[in-house]
Amino acid sequence: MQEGTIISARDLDLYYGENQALKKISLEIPERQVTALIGPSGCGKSTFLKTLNRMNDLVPHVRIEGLVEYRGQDIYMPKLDVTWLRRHVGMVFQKANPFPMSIYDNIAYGPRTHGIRSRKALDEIVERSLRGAAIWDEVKDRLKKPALSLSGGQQQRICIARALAVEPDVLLMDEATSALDPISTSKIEDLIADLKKQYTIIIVTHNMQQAVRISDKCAFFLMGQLVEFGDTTQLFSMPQDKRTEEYITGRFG
Amino acid sequence: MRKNFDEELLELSTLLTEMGAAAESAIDTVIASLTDANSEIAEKALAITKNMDQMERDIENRCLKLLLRQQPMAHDLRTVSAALKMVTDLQRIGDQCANIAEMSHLLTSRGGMVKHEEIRTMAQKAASMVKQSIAAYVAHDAGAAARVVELDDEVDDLFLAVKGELVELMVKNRSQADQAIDLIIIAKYLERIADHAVNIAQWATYCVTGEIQPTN
Repeated sequence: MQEGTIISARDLDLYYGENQALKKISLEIPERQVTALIGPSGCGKSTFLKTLNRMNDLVPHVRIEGLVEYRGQDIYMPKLDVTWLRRHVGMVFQKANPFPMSIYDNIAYGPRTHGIRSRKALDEIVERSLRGAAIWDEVKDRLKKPALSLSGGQQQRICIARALAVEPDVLLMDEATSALDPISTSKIEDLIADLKKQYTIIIVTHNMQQAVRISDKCAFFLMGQLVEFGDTTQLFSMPQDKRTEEYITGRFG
Repeated sequence: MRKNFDEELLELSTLLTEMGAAAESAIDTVIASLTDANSEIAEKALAITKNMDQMERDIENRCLKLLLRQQPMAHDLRTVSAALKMVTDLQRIGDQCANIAEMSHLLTSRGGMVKHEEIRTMAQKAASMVKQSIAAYVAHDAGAAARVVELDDEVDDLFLAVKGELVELMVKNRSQADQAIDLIIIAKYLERIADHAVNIAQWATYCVTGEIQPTN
């Protein structure tokens, strides 16, 4: 594993039953940078993202070969505590999915399941997480209100705050802004730029302009293979592989 | 897929080729006005350069529109951004030709000029460099672009030769000093035109290789 790598995949194969969705993926994710995964629908980018905190465990008939390491730890070793992994490698989904409870309880949910009971400690975590997700000022006077009463963009930031509450190391974001309007999208993009000072962020996006705007590194997936991985500016101005060029210039299919 | 965009990129190439041809024609015309000591031809050269200003604005607008609407990537991005830079160099070539046309007026009013073969050769080489640099961009030919860069040395050498000769003329014949200075200035303008052609060639190279060359 290279220095500065936080997550590394080596020769990763993933099968859904007979169907191979990932083929020999080897990729090193740099720490405290934004890595974007791009590619057409069905290319394996979301599948790859989900292997990084074992969300694919929930999918029936899934089979994984190869190695994924988080800070040098094989995350598919049999005795690994998946809760431990997901505490360190958090996830935000395409559709904001706050729990049907108050804003406060949404954020406090994770810390509580990890055994934190003190009101004072929880108050601190809630405020710090909401500030971290750039939504504190908008909700500080209505923490007891249902999270579902907020707008879509606010709900998504609540979900980010909820992910931050357990103090993760890595944030996985699967199309986290695709259901949001441009203003909410721009708030979350700004937020990602701030968060990378402290966290490693991996995003899946269909919006190539977004990948260009916010990512440092970019990986292009096609039919289960990693075609190209490199600096975002390099990949979008002078891609090395013809298939990357064809995809990003819209010459595909 | 992306039929319109491809057509617009093609149009951009055509417009740049047209503006390159206008630059060539401006150089040829202004040199003809000098050798013939003809103010009318100088006016014609000025009119071409005015038209080039309009072409520049048109190409710029198209590039900005393409950047906004198509948000080009990879080779497309390099094609549009190179065009945006090249068009500035082409317009500067127009400016240099306009400057020479003003000098041509001045020389004609003073009663004609001495034929100066090296200046004509410089002008021909500079015009040819402009043509080749645009052709290299249109054909995505980095080799052709590199040859334009090499040609610049020939123009630089000619400039030094012309300058040396005219300085000698001034020393020998003081009555021709004014004219000699004017010719040196014209030679300098032509040398600058060749430099702009080198810039254009370097943007053509960037378009192919993605590498921005150091300015000389």
